[in-house]
Formats: sequence, C-alpha cells, structure tokens
Amino acid sequence: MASLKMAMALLLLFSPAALGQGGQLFLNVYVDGTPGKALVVGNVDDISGLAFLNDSEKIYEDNGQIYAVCDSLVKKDGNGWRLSFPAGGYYDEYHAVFFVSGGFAFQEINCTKGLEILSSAHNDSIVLDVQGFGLTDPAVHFSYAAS
Amino acid sequence: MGRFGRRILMIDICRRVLCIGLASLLFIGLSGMSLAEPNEDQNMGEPREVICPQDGEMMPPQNAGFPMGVPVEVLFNGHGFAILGNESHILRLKVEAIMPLEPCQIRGLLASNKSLEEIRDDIRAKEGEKTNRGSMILDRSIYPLINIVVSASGNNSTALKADLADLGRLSAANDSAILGSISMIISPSDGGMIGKGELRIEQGPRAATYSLLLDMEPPRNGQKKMMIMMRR
Repeated sequence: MASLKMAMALLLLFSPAALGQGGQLFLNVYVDGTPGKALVVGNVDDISGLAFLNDSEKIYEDNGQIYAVCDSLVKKDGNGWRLSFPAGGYYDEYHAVFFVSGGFAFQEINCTKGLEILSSAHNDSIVLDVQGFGLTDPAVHFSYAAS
Repeated sequence: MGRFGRRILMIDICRRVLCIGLASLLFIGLSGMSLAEPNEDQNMGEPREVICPQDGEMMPPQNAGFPMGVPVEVLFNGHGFAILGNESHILRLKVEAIMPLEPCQIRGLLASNKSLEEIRDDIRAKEGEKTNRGSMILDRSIYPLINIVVSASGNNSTALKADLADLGRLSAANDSAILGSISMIISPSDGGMIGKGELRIEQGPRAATYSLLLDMEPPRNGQKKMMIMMRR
C-alpha cells in the first residue's frame, strides 16, 4: 500500500502535464522490398523534423495525418538494403512500425538509445516495432536481405 | 515581512527543494531497480505463405490475431508503474484505432500506378472497419496486446481488458501465444484520468501479478478541416 501511495505521488510529480509536452510521432513505414520505395502513413505533430519528406510526394492534413511516398529512405547495401529513418527534434512519444514485404530477413538493427524494439515476421513481411518516450533526434537504421 | 518571517519563508523553501530532491532520488532509485536489458528474445517466426492481390486491389486482412494497419487515432495512452511488493516497474500502455491493412496490400498499392491521392483514398476506404491495436512496455520490453475489450464502467469510468501476445507463437496459432492479461479501470481523478488495475504475466522471467497505476492522457486527434500539401 505504501508503494502504491509513493507511486501515485511520483506519478503526479512526473506527469507530462507537470513536465511539459513534446511532439508525438505515430507512423507506419511500408517498404516495397527490392525497389526500395516506401509509403509513410500515420500521424505526426510536426513534419519539419522529418527531413526526408522534403523531397517526397506527400499529403499532410492539419489533423496531423500524413501520407507520403519516399525514395530516399532505403539504399542498396551490399547484397541487401539499408533503411535509415531519422527524426529531428524532441518527441514526447515515438512509435514507428516498419514493414518490409517480399521474403526478407533483418540483418542488423541500430536504434537511438531509449528506443525499444520488437521484431517479428508476418505474412511474408518482416516487421520492426519501435517505441520510445522523451527522445531527442531519434533514429532507426536497419539492414535486410533476402531470406 | 520581518526577520522572523523571512526565516520561516527560507525554511519553507528549503523544505520544498529537499522534498523534490528526495522524490527525484526515489524515482531514480525505483527506475534503476527495474531497468533491464533489451529483450533479446525477439520473435522471428517463419513467414507464412499468403496470396497478395496485384495492382493495388484491396482484400480483407489475413491475420485474425494481432491486427495490422494504419494508425488513425490514439484511444488510450498512459504511463505509470506496475507494482509488485516493494518493486516498482515503469509501464507504458497505448491503445490506438487503426484502419486494418496488410503490408502486402500496401505493397500492391505501391506497385500500382495509382497517385498518392488515390492511395490515400483506398486506405481511407477502410476507415469504416476500424479496429484496435495496443501495446504495453514493461521496463524495456514491448508486449503487443490482443483481444482488446473496452467497455463503460459507470461513473464516467472505462474498463479496459486485453491479453498479452507472443507474436511469434501467435502466427503459429499456438495455445501459449498468450503470455498474460491486463485489466484496468480508467477513471477521472483530480482533473485528469487515472488507470488502476492488474497485470498478470504468466510466462517468462517477469511472471507475476502486478498492481497497476497509470496516468492516462486524454485521447488525441480528431477530424478537422483538411489541408493538402503536394510537392514534386
């Protein structure tokens, strides 16, 4: 009971309302395996931190919903491909899910410290679920190749 | 204010600073206790054969377990603690509404000659079939949530129940695909929303029944007028 009371006090002391809010990013990134074209769909408070969108065709609605087709996220890397997904700025909440279709397997995954990852395979796609909180300039990099 | 008054004020300020400092130290201590290595037990189940439509044709989702789709709205978002005896573990919980779309459906859309507006409209066409997707992070491990049930619980409260999934085993329709469950009541409290309940983990190193206390944020998003920006 004492632990619960202490936790309640800490919860109120360190609530987002007390600490101030940052931006939020909830995006799905769908990669079409070999050509390296990606569809970015989801919701983000501010797209100015997503520099790769500058050269991308995109639709950004004022409720934060975004749809974009990007060619610059994925590069050829040896026998496989490498995806780099940098996001500039401070994010109170960050949740990006990457889907790569076409019978691939992850080779290497590197994320900014503080990002937690969960990888899985689903219907001929590999999936990387990345979540984090209170992060500055979070970035996700991973390589994949034919399995 | 007299000399005595200033002294009282100084003592009061010192007490407040001391309290905040102690609370911070306690918080760091509690966090330190519950820090763990990233989950190395990544589930890399074998990909299953599936026939994907060509030319952007839409088809129903293939997986009845953990839903795949495009996030449209965060329904519940909370952070706080899972408490086990004298231990406190940092816990985050999120449930979002998604438009159900399989990756292979998106692949079909990308491979088609459709414009981005057409792709968006195809995705939006699924909005009527919205479903829920959720996840929980305990310490530094992500647990996907399945079988999410949200119901009214009286007094402006909401009941939230879900199972914790093991994604790798889920794809194999294995009985042990469910690692545990979470149930909580989200209620108004001091102008905010507090979630209280129970987390049961039945497998793995964290197996135990925890008490939950979460600070819940209000739902985000909402449809407003649309602004379209097209480049290139």
